[in-house]
Amino acid sequence: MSCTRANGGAIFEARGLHKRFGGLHATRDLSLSVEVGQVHALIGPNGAGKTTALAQLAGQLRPDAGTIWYRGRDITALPMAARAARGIVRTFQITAVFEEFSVRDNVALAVQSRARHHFAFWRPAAKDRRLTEPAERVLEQVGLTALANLRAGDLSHGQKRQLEIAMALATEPTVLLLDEPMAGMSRAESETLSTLLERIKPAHAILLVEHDMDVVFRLADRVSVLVVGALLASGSPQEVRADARVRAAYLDEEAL
Amino acid sequence: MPKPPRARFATVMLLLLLALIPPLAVLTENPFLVTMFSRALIFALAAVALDLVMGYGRMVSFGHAAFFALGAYTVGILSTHAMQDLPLAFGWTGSNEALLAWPLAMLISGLYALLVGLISLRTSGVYFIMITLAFAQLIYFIVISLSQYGGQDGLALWGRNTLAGVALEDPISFYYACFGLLLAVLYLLRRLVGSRFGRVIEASRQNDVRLRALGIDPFRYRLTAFVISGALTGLAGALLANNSEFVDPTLASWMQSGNFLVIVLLGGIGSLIGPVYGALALLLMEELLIALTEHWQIILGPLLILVALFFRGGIYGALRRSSG
Ligand SMILES: Nc1ncnc2c1ncn2[C@@H]1O[C@H](COP(=O)(O)OP(=O)(O)OP(=O)(O)O)[C@@H](O)[C@H]1O
Ligand SMILES: [Mg+2]
Repeated sequence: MSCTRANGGAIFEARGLHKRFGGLHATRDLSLSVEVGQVHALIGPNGAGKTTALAQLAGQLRPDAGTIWYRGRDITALPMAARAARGIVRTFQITAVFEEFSVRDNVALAVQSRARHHFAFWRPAAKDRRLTEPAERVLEQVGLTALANLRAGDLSHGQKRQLEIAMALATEPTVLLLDEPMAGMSRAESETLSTLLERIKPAHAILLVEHDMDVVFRLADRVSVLVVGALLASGSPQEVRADARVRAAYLDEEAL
Repeated sequence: MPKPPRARFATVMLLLLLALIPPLAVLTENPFLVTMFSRALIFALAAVALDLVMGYGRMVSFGHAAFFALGAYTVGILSTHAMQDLPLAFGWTGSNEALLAWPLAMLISGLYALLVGLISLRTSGVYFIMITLAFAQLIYFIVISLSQYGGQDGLALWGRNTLAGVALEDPISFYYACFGLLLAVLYLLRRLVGSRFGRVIEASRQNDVRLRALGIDPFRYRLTAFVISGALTGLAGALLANNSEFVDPTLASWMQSGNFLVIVLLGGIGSLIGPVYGALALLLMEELLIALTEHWQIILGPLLILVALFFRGGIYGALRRSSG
């Protein structure tokens, strides 16, 4: 089973990533790609190195070896902010929102990041409709409209997860790197998010790290299984589900 | 953030009181009050400038005395040369005109803030505090070594600057010049923190990594805020040189930097107006304790530490809570 596609097909691609933390080899020769219109699920047991891999793709961590390509360009040296500004945007497994801002202001800041015009010292951002109106639209998409005026720090855990997604979407990314977005969400919230991801899929390349196998097999076009830092298998959901090694290493735990 | 009515009312009263200090001083025949309160306004200005970086960006600078001293020495040196008709550079003999000296004071302290920021803003926490402190100590030792400008003993000015040709010798005119500048800076910074730029600064305080993940590297915005803060502290220094008609190396000492920090914490961090309360409160506490005992510093120090520990949000924070 081949893990990488020929260059040219995928908009976003990693080849031969390695990352060591001291003696721990957390990413071992990892290659994967994501295409627009596709959800690529990255699964694996706790500690397999999924978050570490995603951090390298997002530019938060520098890989020790390997290259990352975006639209045919080597972006391995680009830091996270520069990648995000080019449309490669991640969310965090451990919820990270601006707790002291209102929910609306969190999303408005994400809208502002896309506009890339931050040396504006005079006009009140809170009344800037070029920021607030797109923010309201995204809040509506994720179902947070009613909570727009709340302080983000006062949201429930599930609501913060939704806000996390809203912020990522408001930057209008091309590549979305989602680290367990459903974790901590209620069934209903998770359902809303699945529907949303299905809807935005045609225009986005989505890498989805997720533990919930129902979600994975519902959304994914491609599934890669990571075990102790290395890819064990990669292929269509059916292929991966049928793979004996995968069942032994991982899926049996989930009682499939 | 919306201000509760009581905090807003208190601020209006505070500013009104400040506007009335000169006539009150004249009426009560206490003319020294004008110079005393000018001094408080000047410290308020420096602390407001510090609050911009410390309160909004969590850049806890322990070196703002450097910018204060640079502003003050700029005025002192320019004025000394002008009065003695001594060439300063390229045959230029300095100036006693505020419209030239004060912007130059801001430029010089702003440039130094650029240098300090370029190095210190790559770090945070204790490292940031230590680097800003070290850069202030550098200025301290430089001005001490300026023997032609008084060295350790400091430099007495021949008189105050003129503002567009008009003398500022009259304490009341000078008081209103300080008051006007403080109001202008408060208004400008209030706009600034509510703008897109201000959002980035506040977001960088809350979660730097999250901000980068949104595509914004906050470094140059934080650096810009630091330079603005340094330049405004330089302006305060220029005013202080005029107020006391004297500059000396203690302006650059770490205790001076600590003074600004205390004013911000006492008045209320992250509110801009809080430091104005803080500067006045510190002034009043000093005067009160001096009247009570000659060992006032022994009481004031621990008192301020207690306030910082148990009075989070300072005076302005308490006003806000009491009406919320
Ligand atoms: N900064 C770091 N320094 C040292 N070790 C780290 C660091 N980050 C992660 N690790 C280790 O690397 C391994 C992979 O961690 P990672 O968080 O990527 O796993 P994961 O697959 O995301 O797990 P989970 O499903 O629990 O989120 C773990 O053993 C972890 O302890
Ligand atoms: Mg993880």
